[in-house]
Amino acid sequence: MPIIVSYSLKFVIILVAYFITAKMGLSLDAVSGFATLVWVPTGISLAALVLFGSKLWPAIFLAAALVNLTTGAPILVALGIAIGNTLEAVVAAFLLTKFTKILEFPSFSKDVFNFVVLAGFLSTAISATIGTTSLYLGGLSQPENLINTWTAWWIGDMLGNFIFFPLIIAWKNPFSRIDKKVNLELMAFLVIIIITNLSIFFKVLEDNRFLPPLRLYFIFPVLFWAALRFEKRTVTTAIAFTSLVAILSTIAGVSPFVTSGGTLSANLLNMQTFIGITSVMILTLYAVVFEREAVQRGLENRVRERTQDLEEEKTRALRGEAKEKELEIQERDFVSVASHQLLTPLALVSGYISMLVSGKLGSVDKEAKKYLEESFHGTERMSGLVKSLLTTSRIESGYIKIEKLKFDLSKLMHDVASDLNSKLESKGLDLKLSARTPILVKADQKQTREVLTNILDNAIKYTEKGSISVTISSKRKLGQVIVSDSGIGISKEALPHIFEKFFMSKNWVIKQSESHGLGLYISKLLLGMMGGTIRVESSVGIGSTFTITLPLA
Amino acid sequence: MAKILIIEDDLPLIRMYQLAFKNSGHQLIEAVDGEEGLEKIKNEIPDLILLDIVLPKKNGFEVLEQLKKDPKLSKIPVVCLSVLHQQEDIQKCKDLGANDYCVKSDVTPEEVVSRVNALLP
Repeated sequence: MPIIVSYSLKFVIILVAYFITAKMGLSLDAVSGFATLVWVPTGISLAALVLFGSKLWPAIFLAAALVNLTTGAPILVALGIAIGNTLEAVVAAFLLTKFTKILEFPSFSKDVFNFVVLAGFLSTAISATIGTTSLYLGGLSQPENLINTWTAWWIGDMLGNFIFFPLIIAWKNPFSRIDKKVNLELMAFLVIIIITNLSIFFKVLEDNRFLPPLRLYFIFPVLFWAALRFEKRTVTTAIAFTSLVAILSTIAGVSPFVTSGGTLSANLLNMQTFIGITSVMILTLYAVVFEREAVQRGLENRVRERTQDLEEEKTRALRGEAKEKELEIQERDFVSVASHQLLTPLALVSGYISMLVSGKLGSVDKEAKKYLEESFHGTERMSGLVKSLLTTSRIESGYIKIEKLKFDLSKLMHDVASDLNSKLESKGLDLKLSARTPILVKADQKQTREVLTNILDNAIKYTEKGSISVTISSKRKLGQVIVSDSGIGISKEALPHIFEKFFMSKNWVIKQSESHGLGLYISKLLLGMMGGTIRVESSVGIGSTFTITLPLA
Repeated sequence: MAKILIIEDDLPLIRMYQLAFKNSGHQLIEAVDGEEGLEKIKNEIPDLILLDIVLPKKNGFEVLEQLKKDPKLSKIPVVCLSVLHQQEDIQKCKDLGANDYCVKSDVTPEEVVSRVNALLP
């Protein structure tokens, strides 16, 4: 119902609904003329206060008073009964709102239990007690009838709550969507519940093989069907419909509750017990089913939420990774920029020194020329170091990407040798290159070139006379380059450490001004990245032999 | 006598190369960034270009690329002259059509002159 319905309109609705249902109830069959089988107004009052708020209690009070006055009760008795009815609704509404999710009723089994206790047994006792007392005090009920009157009142109100309160609460959003999938099933259900009810209570399809009490059981599968398959509007309506049919058939004297030996009041009590227990049972079943589905939905939602969380985490992680990458690039750029900035003035220094040494800028005396040459070697060493630092930083930061492609190792070695030819010539060294062509390996050509240049350059650097031999061959699944020199060799102590970073500068007396201790380290790293190896054999004074392998293509 | 354009943003280095080219019989003209370099290539039509890579406005790769697109200029020999020494940079220049590549810190100015001479008729 829309919230904007004003207080007075709500007031009128409650008043009219209470009055009409009360009059209908009293007209059916009444105990002492005031208590009835199923007191619908109790359910309406409670639902009204739960939905509209307790401030609407005067509507209930006025309606109850009017009903009783028009039924012939003296004004004080009518007011007494009205106080009882009003208190009953106010107390139940207060307790239910406090202790249950009453607007969701009957979605939770705990709430159904609380509802049965608070609105079924407790609050109705208030009305029954005050009502019966009022009747007694007004002289409308005899003392010997007090227990019967109280019981009938109590049960009538209880059933009013059990049957009509859930119905009204369930229908509070009458137009909300019904799952279209169940529409056909719903139609079938409606047909079957009508036929079943009419057969059980009005003997439409009469089959005398079944004893009357047994026939009642036929309603359970149908109501279970409702509780298991349909939403609360269908379930509460099915309960109310079944109850109504039971009441009407009992009054009409045709229901299974009508026994030949029993009195009317005994029959009615049996009927009331039946619909009371049935309604509570079906509401409980519905709540249990709903809860189970809610748990499942909750789990699904949690799974969905968790999946979403994971997705977000992943995105965050990726973003973080990107940021890390960015930092790395910045760092790499820093090293690149730094190396660029270092090499530019170094080129200036070495350039001028070389021109001074060559005499291009005028004659330089012999001693000065020697010092200038030493300086020039210093610049060469520094430039080698800066370049190696950049390479090392690129390898270690993972910037260098290895592209494994097929290429001819022999041809590459020849290219490297011709690049270094001027250095060989200036030292008067002889290079013997023997190769079977082609030796196709699968590696990164640029990085392999770096390694081969490095190793051959070292051989030239540390060899003063004699020759360098380079042999390229293939052995099993490996391409192999052996570079042997007749140079100074490496001491036994140093040999196991020559592939370590900065080993030379840390542990070795610098004999040759070009060494900086990164070349072999870089070579080993690069070869490792390409699935290759490097090893060394050396004797001081005789020479060194470096063997490089790379996987064949 | 050949006209050689040096595109280089480091003025002390330009002075050094001018010194190296003195008495080489070649005229050395200069540009200090990529854009000026391209302009001078178009206006002066040099016989050879000495091209730095890390340059303001347009880097050496871009200069090389644009130069090679222009059929009137694409035949001019280019010697890259840079401190960049990574194989990938060297390869990139060669792929873009550079005739030679000198790593500034590895070659003496006189070597640069001789490599230039090798490319001139």
